Amino acid sequence: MKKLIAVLAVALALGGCATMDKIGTVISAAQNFTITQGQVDSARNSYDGFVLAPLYRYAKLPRCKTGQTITIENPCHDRKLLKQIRQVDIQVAKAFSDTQNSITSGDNKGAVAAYTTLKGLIDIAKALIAQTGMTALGA
Amino acid sequence: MDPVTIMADIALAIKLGKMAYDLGKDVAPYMITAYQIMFKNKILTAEERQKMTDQELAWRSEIDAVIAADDEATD
Repeated sequence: MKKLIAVLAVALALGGCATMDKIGTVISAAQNFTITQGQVDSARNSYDGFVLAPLYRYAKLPRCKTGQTITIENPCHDRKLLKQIRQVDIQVAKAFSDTQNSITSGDNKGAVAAYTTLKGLIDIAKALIAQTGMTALGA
Repeated sequence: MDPVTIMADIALAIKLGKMAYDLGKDVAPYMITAYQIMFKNKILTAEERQKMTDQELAWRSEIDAVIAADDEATD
């Protein structure tokens, strides 16, 4: 039974990785072109679904005690990892805001630059959220 | 497998299922909206964007509260 759960978790994690890549695809497609409101909205929804929602759920897990490791039987959040991801999330939120402001003001060059920054930050957030194990639950 | 192990495994499976369900409830609306924008030419209204912003603020506020509690904890 445990083996079955482990295999299922790995399969879901891989599925999660594949869908997570869509965030990057959406943003890559926008690079060097006009950044549209729809592209920002889509990327923001993807980010909220694949990073922010799992981060919220991760934070709600009990705190890992010193020396405790995360297991399927006893899921917990690592305080350092949580703080690290939140720091990146603050930068992502600012990059989304910068991109939105550039679009609103009609500054496409600024929007492309902000979007490029956003892509890099989302890649970092994706890598960190994968470490939480929340992707194993299907996110 | 003895009955105790089987029951423990079932309990674990239910626990994991509940976690996946809770996470799925949070994630699904965003995935559906992202899909609709990308492939169905959906355009978000100002109200929908505001709702998204409000949810982001609520989540981030709760995450920050957990981080603050973590900083004060000694365990």
